[in-house]
Amino acid sequence: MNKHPERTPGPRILRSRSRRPRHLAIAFLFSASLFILAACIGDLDPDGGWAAPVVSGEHVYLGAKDGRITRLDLNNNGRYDGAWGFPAPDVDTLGPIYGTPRVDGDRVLGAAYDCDGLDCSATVFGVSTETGQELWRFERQTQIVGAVALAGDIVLFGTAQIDDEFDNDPGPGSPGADGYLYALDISDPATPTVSWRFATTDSVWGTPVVSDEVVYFGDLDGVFHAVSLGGESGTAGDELWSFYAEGAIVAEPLVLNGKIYFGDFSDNFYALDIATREAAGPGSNPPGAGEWSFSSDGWFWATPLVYENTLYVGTLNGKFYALNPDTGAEIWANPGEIIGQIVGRAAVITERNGGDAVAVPSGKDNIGVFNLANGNELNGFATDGGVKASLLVDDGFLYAHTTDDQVIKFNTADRNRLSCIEAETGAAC
Amino acid sequence: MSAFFSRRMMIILGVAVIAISIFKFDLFVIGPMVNSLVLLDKILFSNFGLAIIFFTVTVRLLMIPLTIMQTRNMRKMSALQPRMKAMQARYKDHPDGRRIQSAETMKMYKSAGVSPIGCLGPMVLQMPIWFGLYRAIFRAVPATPEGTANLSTVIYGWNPAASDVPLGSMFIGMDLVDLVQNAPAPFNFALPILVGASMWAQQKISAMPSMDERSAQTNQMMLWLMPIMFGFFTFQFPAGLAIYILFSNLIGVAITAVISGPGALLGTRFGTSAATAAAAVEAGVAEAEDEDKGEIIDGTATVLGEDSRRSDRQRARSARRKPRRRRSRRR
Repeated sequence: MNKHPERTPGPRILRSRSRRPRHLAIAFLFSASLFILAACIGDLDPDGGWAAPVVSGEHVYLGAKDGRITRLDLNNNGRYDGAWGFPAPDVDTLGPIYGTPRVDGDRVLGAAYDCDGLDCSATVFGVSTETGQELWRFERQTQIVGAVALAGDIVLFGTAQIDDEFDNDPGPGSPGADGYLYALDISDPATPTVSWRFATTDSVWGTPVVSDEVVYFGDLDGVFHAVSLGGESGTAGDELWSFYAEGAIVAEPLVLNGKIYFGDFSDNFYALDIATREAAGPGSNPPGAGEWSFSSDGWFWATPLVYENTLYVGTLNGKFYALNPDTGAEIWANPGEIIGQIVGRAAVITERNGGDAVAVPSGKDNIGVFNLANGNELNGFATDGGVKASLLVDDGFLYAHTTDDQVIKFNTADRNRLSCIEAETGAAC
Repeated sequence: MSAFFSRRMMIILGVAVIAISIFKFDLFVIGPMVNSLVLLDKILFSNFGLAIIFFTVTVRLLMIPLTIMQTRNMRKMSALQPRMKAMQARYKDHPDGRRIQSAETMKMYKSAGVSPIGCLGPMVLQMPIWFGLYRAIFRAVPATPEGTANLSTVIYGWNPAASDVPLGSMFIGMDLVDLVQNAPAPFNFALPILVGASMWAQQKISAMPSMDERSAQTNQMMLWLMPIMFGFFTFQFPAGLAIYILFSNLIGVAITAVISGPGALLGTRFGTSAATAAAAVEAGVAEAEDEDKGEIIDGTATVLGEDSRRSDRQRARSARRKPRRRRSRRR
């Protein structure tokens, strides 16, 4: 018999007052709202850091995440050239850069964009390699994800289906949500003018490629286009032929030996024969002579690489393939998966023993290296962050631009890290 | 026991949900949701807005058991409040009052079959689903190259709609990925107002009436503060998220109205008007006084409703069983 029933201790949870659950609920609601707010803002902001280093003359040019073009001086042991940069340090940058800058003679061409929600502003620009001063600029309210291509004094780039580029006109030739391929004439740098623009049924995120007076590019609607640049190929801006892939196309195509190689978002990789396509004309689709497709298990964003009659390409799920470029037959695939997405183009490196290997950028730490012949994994390059930019190999050195905005220089033979700088400021990592 | 079991179950489920959320959120939550949205987009005429609405409504309907559990718990807690109030008044000046109150509260919860965290538990379980849903919306229609590349990690290769990504994000003239403030008029103002109003209705219909003045004030403040706050936030939300919150709230109001009766929205929460509640307080106090006199308390049924009546019947049944046991022992 308990003499003091009132002293029987209750469970701890009941010592809380009845208000506690309500306070917890309030705390939940507040934290949930903050969580939602923070997460949403992050989802809409472009980040950049996908632009590969480019070597030209005595310099390596970089497109930093904040939208600044900087460079390293190869004559000075690859040190940061603090005297050159665009825009100047006291001027606002243009937003993240995704496409690799293009160096043509004494000018650097590039594109950057930034957004507030989907209120985006994109800039295509030309910069003097001598002074770092702006030569010209062209602005549109859109996204420019791919790099620019150049055909003489015509700069080619793709735009996305928002703001300026979204005409919402279901009429003929403008079937709703549009993107464009722009041809910008910069022969007079003071007044860059739109020479023509080619309307597409969806955004053009990929980098266009110019070959024999024809520009090749794909769009997010899964249509691959061949458009004339004038001259013998036809009237500038006219579509010569198109090909309907199964998924969206963002990969920069590779044009080589009369064939075009690219992958899409339906896990397919295609080889199109230019002569066959030209004979078939616009809107043609069935695979023709000399054409093939390869089915993988991941989306393709990376540009393929062809070396010694083997085609190398990786997917966004980290699979890397070696294919026969004539038949599409798989030669090897890496047995496991590279941890991270393969967005950038691989590069062939020379080993200490003089043999070749292929280095593959991984979206999540480290650069994988594979034996060219059999795909066996070799020692890789250690990076602190992922690499979504294509790799640059020059004079026995490998340059990698990481998603943390670091540019790391390696010795390809022994994989040693030689230097690391912050692309934006030039400070040592 | 049932309250204890329910509490324990809730804790285990809560821990499991949190663990899944942290370690395998993409695999178990985002992946299925994104693929469902992509598939729905294909089925619903490549209209991602319709896909969001249909999916939100479906998910809310699938969560009805959790909503019912939460509502029932709130109803029981609400019905217990007059007795709690009376008990608090009774032991207010007692030297060991807090401890006694805890023990009595436990007894009360047990007899009514109430789980003290029964209101929060379902909410905790629903949180990852809500977070997952809004994350899935933006994973399915990414605005950036990073988002598009990351989409590849959650799209199933066998999804027949996989080749349709990235999806179009236009819906009745709005871009669902763009911020509401950038949407064309009147959506830029209508959506925040509708989100705020629907959230107010949702809170109003599901709020638990409180006998405690301070709690009642807090409730009243939250009833207005949260909708206003969310209304302002909505300007900075992508339109797709605003559509999701709006329809989630609307279906939530509808479900609660069906469970609790539409009177809840008009001020008579869970069918208990303020006057009835006040009368119940009086009854509770009187009952407590009866208890002081050593009388048997059996006023629970008048306050607790059907569930407590069931527990009373159980007590009665067990009371009838006891003599039988005694008889068998005699044999």
